[in-house]
Amino acid sequence: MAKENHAEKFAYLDQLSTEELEEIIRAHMDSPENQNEEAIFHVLEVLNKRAKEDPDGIQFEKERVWHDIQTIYNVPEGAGRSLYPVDDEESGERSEENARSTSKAPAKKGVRWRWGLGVAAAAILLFSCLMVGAQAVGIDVFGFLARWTADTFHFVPATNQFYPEARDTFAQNHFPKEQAPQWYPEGFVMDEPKVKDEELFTTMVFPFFNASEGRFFFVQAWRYSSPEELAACNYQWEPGSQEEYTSGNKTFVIVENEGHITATWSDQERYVLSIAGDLSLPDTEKIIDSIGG
Amino acid sequence: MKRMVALTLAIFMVLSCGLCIPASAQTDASYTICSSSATLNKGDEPGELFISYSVTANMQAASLGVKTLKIYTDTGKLVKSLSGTTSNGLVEVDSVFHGGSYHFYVTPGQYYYAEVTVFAATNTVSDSYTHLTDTIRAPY
Repeated sequence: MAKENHAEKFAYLDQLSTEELEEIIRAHMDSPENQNEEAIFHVLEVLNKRAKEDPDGIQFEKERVWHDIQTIYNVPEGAGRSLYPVDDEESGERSEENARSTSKAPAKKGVRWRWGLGVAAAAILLFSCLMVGAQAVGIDVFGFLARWTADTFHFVPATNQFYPEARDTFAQNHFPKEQAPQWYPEGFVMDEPKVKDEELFTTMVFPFFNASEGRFFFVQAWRYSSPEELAACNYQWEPGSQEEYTSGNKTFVIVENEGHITATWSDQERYVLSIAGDLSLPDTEKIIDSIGG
Repeated sequence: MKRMVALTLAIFMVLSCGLCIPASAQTDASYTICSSSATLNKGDEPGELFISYSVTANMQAASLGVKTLKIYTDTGKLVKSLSGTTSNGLVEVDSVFHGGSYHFYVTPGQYYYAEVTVFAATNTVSDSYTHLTDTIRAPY
């Protein structure tokens, strides 16, 4: 009965969009004095339910989480920062306060404690929900979490890295973004992509470095002005090393080239996609498998 | 007897070709170059031609681009030759890729082809590859 009352009481929240529900949570965290834990927990239940029902629907959350990780934490200035920028601001203010007077007692201690507990529970629930979704779409969240146990926080390249920037660069330059690989081998970090828009072709090169092992590979996408221009491109290779690998509707030609590997696909009209460098054949095939479209 | 000699010669020639193909194709492998291209194209103005070129290295190359560029008439007469440098934009340093266009003017209505040698170099190894373009007529 109590459950029915609870459901009826907050039925209006079910009608709101996911973005609006997130805004309610943000507003709650920004204004602890206006507390309504019951409503917040209901909001989190709704979000959790929607994530389970529609895993694709949280794709935007994965991209946002990844963007936050890259722009806030995975930067030199991010060392030692807390999970939320607002916490940094607060802690900064507290530091200033402490500098002025270390004996000053915190105001509304009881309310703060209760609010903090509520927010912590909410954050854990929301984070768990997002984490499962993010893991499902390819972000190695657990790999990153494992590295948070050290005294100092730092990022180490993890397996199954996913770079939304690569997809964005594909889309910005009018390439099918599905053609951007979604999986990269462990230990590699993507450098700044290079884009060249020339008279007869446009190309994008995504370099990946593994500094500890001194290895390098790249993903290169081409769009040519004509099939003739495409056919003029010559790939270096060792005779007898050629083999084909098909994934989805794309067949890549894989060749050896003096210790390097080159895998190339073309639609025979305008587009070419190459993966080349210091890669093993299984890793090359896994990268190919992660290409959509 | 003549048939035997002809047959032996024929077998020898076939075997020779079979042995030569892989030997010459071996030169297609390169430690520093992954892929490259060079094409000769018509420009918009009378006598304007341009070379579209690209070279992708297997690694972050110390330098890469066009080593030499030669323009010939269809009769084989060399009419233009230059070496690539960073100053003329035909060479780039510390990169995995370099590509672009090089425009020039010749006699309108005449036929030309180009020989473009591209290269990619690390601090210790440098490889090159020469492209021979199609012959095209310079626009009037």
